[in-house]
Amino acid sequence: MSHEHARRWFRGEIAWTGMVVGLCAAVALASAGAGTTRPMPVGADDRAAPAASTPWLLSQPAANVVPAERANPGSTDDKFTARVRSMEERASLRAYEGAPPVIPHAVGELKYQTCRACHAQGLRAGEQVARMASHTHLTNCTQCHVEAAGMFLGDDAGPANSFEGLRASGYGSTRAWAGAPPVIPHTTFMRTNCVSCHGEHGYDGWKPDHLDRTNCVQCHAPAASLDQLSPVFGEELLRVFTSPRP
Amino acid sequence: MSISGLVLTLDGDPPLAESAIRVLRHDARITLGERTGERLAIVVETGSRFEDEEVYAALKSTPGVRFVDVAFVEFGSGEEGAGDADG
Amino acid sequence: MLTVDRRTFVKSAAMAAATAAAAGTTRSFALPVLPGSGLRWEKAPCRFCGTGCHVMVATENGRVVAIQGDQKADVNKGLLCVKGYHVGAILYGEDRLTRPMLRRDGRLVPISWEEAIGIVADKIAENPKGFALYGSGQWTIGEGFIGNKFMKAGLGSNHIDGNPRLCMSSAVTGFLSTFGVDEPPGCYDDLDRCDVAIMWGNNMAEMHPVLFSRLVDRRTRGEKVTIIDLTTRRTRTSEFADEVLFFKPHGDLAIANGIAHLLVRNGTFDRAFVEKHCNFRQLGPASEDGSPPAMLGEPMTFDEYAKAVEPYTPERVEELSGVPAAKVRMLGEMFGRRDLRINSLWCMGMNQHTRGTAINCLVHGIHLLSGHIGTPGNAATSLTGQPSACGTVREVGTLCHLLPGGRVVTNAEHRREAEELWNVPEGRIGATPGYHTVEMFKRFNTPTAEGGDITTMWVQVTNPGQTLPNLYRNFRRKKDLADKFLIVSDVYPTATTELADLVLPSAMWVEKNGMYGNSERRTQQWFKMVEPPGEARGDAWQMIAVSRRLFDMGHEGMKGRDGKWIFHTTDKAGREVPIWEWEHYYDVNVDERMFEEYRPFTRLKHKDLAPYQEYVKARGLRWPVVQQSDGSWRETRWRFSGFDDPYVGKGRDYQFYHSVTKDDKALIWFRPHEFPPEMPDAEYPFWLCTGRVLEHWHTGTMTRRIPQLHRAMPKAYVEMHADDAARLGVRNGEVVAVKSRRGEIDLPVWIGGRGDPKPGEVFVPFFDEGRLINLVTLDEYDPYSRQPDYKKCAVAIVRKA
Repeated sequence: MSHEHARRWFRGEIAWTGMVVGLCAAVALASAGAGTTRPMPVGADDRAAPAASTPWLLSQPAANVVPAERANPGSTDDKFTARVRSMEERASLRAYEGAPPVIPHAVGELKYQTCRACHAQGLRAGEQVARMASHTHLTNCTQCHVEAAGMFLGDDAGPANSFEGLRASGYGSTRAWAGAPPVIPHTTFMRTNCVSCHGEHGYDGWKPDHLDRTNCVQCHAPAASLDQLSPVFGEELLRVFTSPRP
Repeated sequence: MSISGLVLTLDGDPPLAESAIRVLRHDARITLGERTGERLAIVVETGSRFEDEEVYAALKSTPGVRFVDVAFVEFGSGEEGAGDADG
Repeated sequence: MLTVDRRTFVKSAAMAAATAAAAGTTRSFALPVLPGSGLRWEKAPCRFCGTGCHVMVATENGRVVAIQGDQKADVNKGLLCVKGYHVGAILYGEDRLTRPMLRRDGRLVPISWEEAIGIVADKIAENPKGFALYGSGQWTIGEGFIGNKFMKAGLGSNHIDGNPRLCMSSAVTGFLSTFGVDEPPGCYDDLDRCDVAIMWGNNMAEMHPVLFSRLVDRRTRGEKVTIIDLTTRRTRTSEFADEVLFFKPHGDLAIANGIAHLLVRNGTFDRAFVEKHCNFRQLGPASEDGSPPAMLGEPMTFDEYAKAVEPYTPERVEELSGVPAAKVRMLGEMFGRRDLRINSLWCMGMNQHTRGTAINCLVHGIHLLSGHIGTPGNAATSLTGQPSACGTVREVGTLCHLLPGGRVVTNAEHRREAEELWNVPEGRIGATPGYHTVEMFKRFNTPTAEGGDITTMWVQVTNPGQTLPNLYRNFRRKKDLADKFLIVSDVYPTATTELADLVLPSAMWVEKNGMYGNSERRTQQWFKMVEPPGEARGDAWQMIAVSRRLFDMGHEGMKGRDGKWIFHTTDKAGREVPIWEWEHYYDVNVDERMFEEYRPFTRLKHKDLAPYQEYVKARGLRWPVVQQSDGSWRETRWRFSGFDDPYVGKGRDYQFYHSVTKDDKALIWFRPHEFPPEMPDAEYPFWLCTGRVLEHWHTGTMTRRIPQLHRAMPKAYVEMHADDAARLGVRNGEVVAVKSRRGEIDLPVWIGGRGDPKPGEVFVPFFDEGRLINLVTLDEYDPYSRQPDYKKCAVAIVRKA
């Protein structure tokens, strides 16, 4: 997904359905005045349209991902730039939406506690950002997260694989009506710590204007079609709905 | 068609909260769910977005209801999206 | 999918969301995919290791697009390791095999399935006694059952073995020697309940990471879990351990005997438990012809046992193993305490061992001696490397001496029962075990005229061209032998297909229906979700098609007692379904049919399985699965324990009901420490240990085709201690030759790398087909399990000019 392509989609010139859309994306959409994109019902993800997806490989060594530019909050265009760059940065570290991100720096073979030195609270040093872990209860970090470029990689481009991963859902709107809090357009399993991406050391362009309020899910609820669902699971939800209430 | 899942925060005064629940129970568009302390889960099903907003406004002004929070929203396909006016 | 309308569906989702929000919970919950959205989530066990995690697989437009840990699964509770998260990509490597190929003039050229099946059938018919089938712990239960029946009940040949021979057969002989029946009495729940976890040469943080997390994440909930890492090199597991006790290669037997010594000397063994539930055992003398003494040994008294372990004082153990005497005492004291729950865990460190049966027996022995067994948290559990080494190979019995359900070919009654259940004429099954893995390949790689009586081999779902020890001798010689024919069913080109004469493209994982059985006796089921690519077809179908071709050619073995084909399958109306024709294979669920045919076999050893449909509903069930009076099916977590196992007699606390001594008692074995067959010397001064890494699964044929995994761990290396490197003048990253009496390969040196060996030892992972460490390894094996020792041989490290 090229930056220019995203911009054209953003301006409503083309349909693009597989984009990572954070809750701010809808906001950006409205503020730019582009209303041509058809709103999508919650949970429906119209992916049948020709998607501008590329084979889901790391498009470049993740260690070389350009740090997101600091956006000028006064300019809508800069805001958009920051948001889209953040989305691209985030997507470049994952095989598919929901996959654990790879590590965009060398880890050597450090003690596991070392990860926590930066990622427990999050850290920003110049252009380098260490995001806070999005989950708190797991200690064996390298079980899920591996280096984007290992010790002996050299100029090995890696194997050819045509797996095309699911992208985060794009929503035309994530709000019920003006003023209503947007719903969460992604899975929440392993992502219970919202400030990981949306907090002080989170992604540029994804931060709310009310960082002081901490109980996010009080107002923002999940609305993801991405969470694991089986017929069995659906039945359980149905039971919640149909069982007699006191 | 529009369906939303809302969380009502009821008044701390039990009789007042109960009266609010009685009112809601008589509205066919509203399905009551589980209650946890002062918080009550409900589902609102209406014919249109417009009507949904009406219910939302009505709920906000119902005696015994202190806050209305939106947990889930679904609009029938083909409708115009919500205007996200604020940035 | 649900048969509810969209409106009800959305309303249920809305209510679920509101309910969770009202409860103020941050717990995750999920919303259903709306009908018509195109995304479909279904359960499957992970394709990789023996942990048996369940994944949720998202498919869309006929392709897998995402994976999640299955939150409903007991085993992994929503968590996966990095391999599991990327498992969907294994289907989409660019070089998938999609057409049958025959070697002509040295080149593999595409042929039709019709021709390919004919070639296999002809080769078998030519010389049925010289045909061998080599399968795998990645065979589904149905595939293993078909292979076993085809060979033993069809061809009347026991030349079928599987790669678990290289992987966990020492665990099998350990369980058989101790309990008289295979597989662990405990389960993964012990990880949640133990106070102490002992890793016996087991790098669990990388090899079974999800189970390791289940253990260490208890600490973040404020629970105390002491981890003792008994190891020859520092690994990621060591980082989490309270005690890292380094031992010399092969020193594990001394440590176990040292613990037994202290329990006896200090009188801290569990006298009541031992008197009630245990007998003592030792090997008899070796026979005159030089063959090893019988595996099940002979009785010994407690006094004799005490005398046998007497020499293993902490000081002597320190001498033999290198573990300080004080630490040996600490271990002895730990086992002597009744208030601690102790879980021993092991994998290849104890199994790939020329004394594998012995060390397995000794670890069970100290758990029995100290009564640390059979209550939640107290267990000695072997962890398995392949997803169905247990479910398929051990339970269905696809080894050269086994029949389904724990039966052996040498037992006339067992053969008769199998012939009865398979409905084949009496006498069909041979009474002599076939060739075990190393023997099978040796004979295949020996000219027929010189006694190499295996002439055609069919390899399915495994890669012996990379995994056999001492590859020059056991695999590569075939290349120059004109009268040998190698058939390989696989999904990608491998080190094995490289030498194949016929390559058959297979369907894999969610491209077919399947069932697996994991390390904790849990049987799992999944359905086909996507189509295999090109002309690839399932391994089960391939064997069925060959069997049918032989039947049509008039092969007597392919007929049952009634004269019908041994895989005769009918639909509900009783009409035959031609499952040998690919287009009709899925007209019935062959997997379900095979499983239901297999179930009656499982009763003899009380490994009862539930009907197929129960597994469709569950995230696996642990056997014995026994029907309750209300009709429901109940799994068993702790076998032989009165509080949980329905087969333990009423009112009894424990009953080892398949006891070798037929008195419901388990055996505590004495096995002496002995030195390994090859040790470092002046010419080959280093110990070589081989093994796995987190990112790659076994020979890497799947994981090395996943960009994220390959990039993280691109190639093999040799780990070396900094002192040795300094002495040899070798820099980090420098390429050196690793050389043994059998072969040599070049590898970059990694100092202070993933693992950190002790001085005098090196470690090399075996995943890299470009750098085959098994050209170097030794093919000596345990005399009982016939499992080779990949963990110890002598090598030299030579600087390149």
